[in-house]
Amino acid sequence: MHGDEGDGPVTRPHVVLLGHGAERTGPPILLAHLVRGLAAGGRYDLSVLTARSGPMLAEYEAAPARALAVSAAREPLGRTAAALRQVGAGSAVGPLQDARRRQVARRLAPADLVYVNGATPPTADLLRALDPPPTTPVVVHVHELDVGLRINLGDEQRRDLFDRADRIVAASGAVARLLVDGHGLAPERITTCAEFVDVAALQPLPPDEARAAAGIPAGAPVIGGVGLLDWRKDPDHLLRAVHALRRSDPDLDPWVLWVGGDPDSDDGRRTAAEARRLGLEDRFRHVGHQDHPDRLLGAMDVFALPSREDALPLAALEAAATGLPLVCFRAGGIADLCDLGAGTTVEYPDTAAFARALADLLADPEARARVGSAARALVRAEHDTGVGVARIAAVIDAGLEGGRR
Amino acid sequence: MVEPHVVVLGHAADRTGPPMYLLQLLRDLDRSGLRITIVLLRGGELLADLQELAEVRVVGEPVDSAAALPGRLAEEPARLRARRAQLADLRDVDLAIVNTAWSIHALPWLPVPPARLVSVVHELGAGVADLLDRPALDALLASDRFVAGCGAVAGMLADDLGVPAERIDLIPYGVAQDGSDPVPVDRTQLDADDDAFLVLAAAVPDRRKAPDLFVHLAATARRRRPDVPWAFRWIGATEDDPRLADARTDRALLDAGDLVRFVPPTPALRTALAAGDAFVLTSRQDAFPLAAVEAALAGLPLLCFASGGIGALVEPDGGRLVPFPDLESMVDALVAWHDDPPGRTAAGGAARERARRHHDAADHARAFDRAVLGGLRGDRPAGAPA
Repeated sequence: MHGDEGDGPVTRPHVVLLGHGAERTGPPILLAHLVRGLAAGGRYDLSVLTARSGPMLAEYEAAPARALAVSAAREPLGRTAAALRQVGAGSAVGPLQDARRRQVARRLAPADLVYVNGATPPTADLLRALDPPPTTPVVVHVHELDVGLRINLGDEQRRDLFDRADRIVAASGAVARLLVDGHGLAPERITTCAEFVDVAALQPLPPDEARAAAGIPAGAPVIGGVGLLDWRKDPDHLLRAVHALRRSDPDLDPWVLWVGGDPDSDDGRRTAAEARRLGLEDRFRHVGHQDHPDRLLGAMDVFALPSREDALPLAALEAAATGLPLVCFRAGGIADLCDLGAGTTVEYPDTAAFARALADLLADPEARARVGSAARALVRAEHDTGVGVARIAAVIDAGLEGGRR
Repeated sequence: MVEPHVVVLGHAADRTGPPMYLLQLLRDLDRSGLRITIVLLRGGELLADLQELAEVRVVGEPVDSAAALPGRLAEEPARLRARRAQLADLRDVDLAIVNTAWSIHALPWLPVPPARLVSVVHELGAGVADLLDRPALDALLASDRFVAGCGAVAGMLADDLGVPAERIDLIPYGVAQDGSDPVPVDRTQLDADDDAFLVLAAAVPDRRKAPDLFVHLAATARRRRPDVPWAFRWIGATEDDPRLADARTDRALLDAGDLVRFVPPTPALRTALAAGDAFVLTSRQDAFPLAAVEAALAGLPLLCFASGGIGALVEPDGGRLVPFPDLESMVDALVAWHDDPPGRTAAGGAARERARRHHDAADHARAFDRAVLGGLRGDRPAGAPA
């Protein structure tokens, strides 16, 4: 046990939390909620080590936790790696980057438990670099579904990660089912700890103030989404659904507000081109990344999650927490929430059904209020930080007490 | 007597629409009395075929200054000098023909501007105004004449880019044909069973051609009519093509591995298409894909989004045009064709007759000769002996 407090040494366990990055996206934000919650309990010494730097490092430090990043770039030793690859010495890149990861990891005191936040290539690399002794328990928190686990993570990395994990935390029921049914993990190794958000911190603007901030007329009906613009989140699919809705229910005439990503990126231009192609350029507003996207939730009447797959996105939980009804594909954890009354789920990729679900909610203010109210209650009961941190702390405590499997 | 010198600027020699168009055009054109040089930004599998018809020089593409590594950028001045040296003798160019808008990037490398510039534009907005930066677009718009193979491109040039209509020659696209019906390949070559309802696409698998929507279409068809033995095959890409990463993942998410397959490009496209039951084009935007003409000549009914120039071939009775991106309506058409084989055959027959009548490559070449090359040879009638 490591750490000092007051006049003499205390026996607070040192928990090292590994993250792929410190940008303001789902898993790093959830890690901040977790670190703050664990630190508030005062029972652990906390360190966070991320592969990439970013704005969330300051929030980890404020928790307080010691926070370190291996690299400010997308990969360690970015320029050196590029130069080596250019001269045909790409095989030297991996060992050099591993050495850099080990060099940074050595700055941390030995861990009593390692918490791997995310089954991703960078977190797998960090765990290998940290190389905790065989007696040190490891918890792996899986936020990923099929694309993340099967496509992004190599076979070897996935095997190493799951073999080394003593306990596995699944971010939603959908993740737990995939781990058991798709990857053959024993159910008893898995604890489902649903993702959570800081409900008290959410501050949506009043509707028309939020609409004005997004360039949308007061009183206009708005379908909104929050997230990156990548293929997995698939904002283009939302545009196609709204295009279908406008043909089937022209009187509804909704606006589409997407918050997140960079409008000037390739993905941003692609999405804008899709909106033009669909004749939606006058009804589509894309507001780039926001440190507080919850403020613009106030502009929305319905929250759409067009993701191909998504474990349990915080943006949708935040939307539900503010009383927005949800529409999603049956492609991840939000579908479970909708099945409990927080919204409507349709089969992926049934664009017409997605459009119908949006239209039904837009056309019926009472249904919106009823479903939104249920969504708010569900999130407050099951997905607020207090509940979420307690669930994970129980897994950590079990790991500390039980040691290795 | 010095032969008039024609330089064709092309982007590549791969087996995609514009290079195949150029190859067919050169085969059908009366090239006698002309010196023809082809300048390509990059090579490809059609290079040898093109070299049989004209001198070809492959000069390499400019590097993307925003994306290139420093070392690569540092090499660029030397590469530029090498390109200029490679083309230094092209000082007597009577006519430069730009084959695809992107190929305008090769024009500044000619040592002397050509006496006349004709641009053959195969693209709609996504390939012209959205793709070219301002200097390249200005260079393209400075062409003396434009050739458009379909009304959609001619309309885009006139309406969106402000090209005066009198500078545009609308010459309908064509493909080689001999009037015979193709003999279908064995369906095993397309990884499909004999009893499958075989829906075919043929295109490079880039985002504009929308393999993602092709996968969604297949899943939608299966959901709507699970009793139909659907098989969706995209000809023009190997399974491991990196451009298909997203479509492959989608296919896996939808558990559609048997339903959708990707088949490598084939030089015998028409006989491959003849093995199908219907042709579908899920492109977000497409001026006039020649693969659709091949499908029509193979006797397949055509199913496309109304977002390009192919409508003239499809309508009124050669298939169905549906609004982009209405996959449900596409499935309506496929289901109708599955349930009504005589109706399907009739639609395919109508498409074939229209393709035979209006889209013969030899006709296109004769019209091209009259519009673009005729002046070079004085008053000699196109097609007459040199």
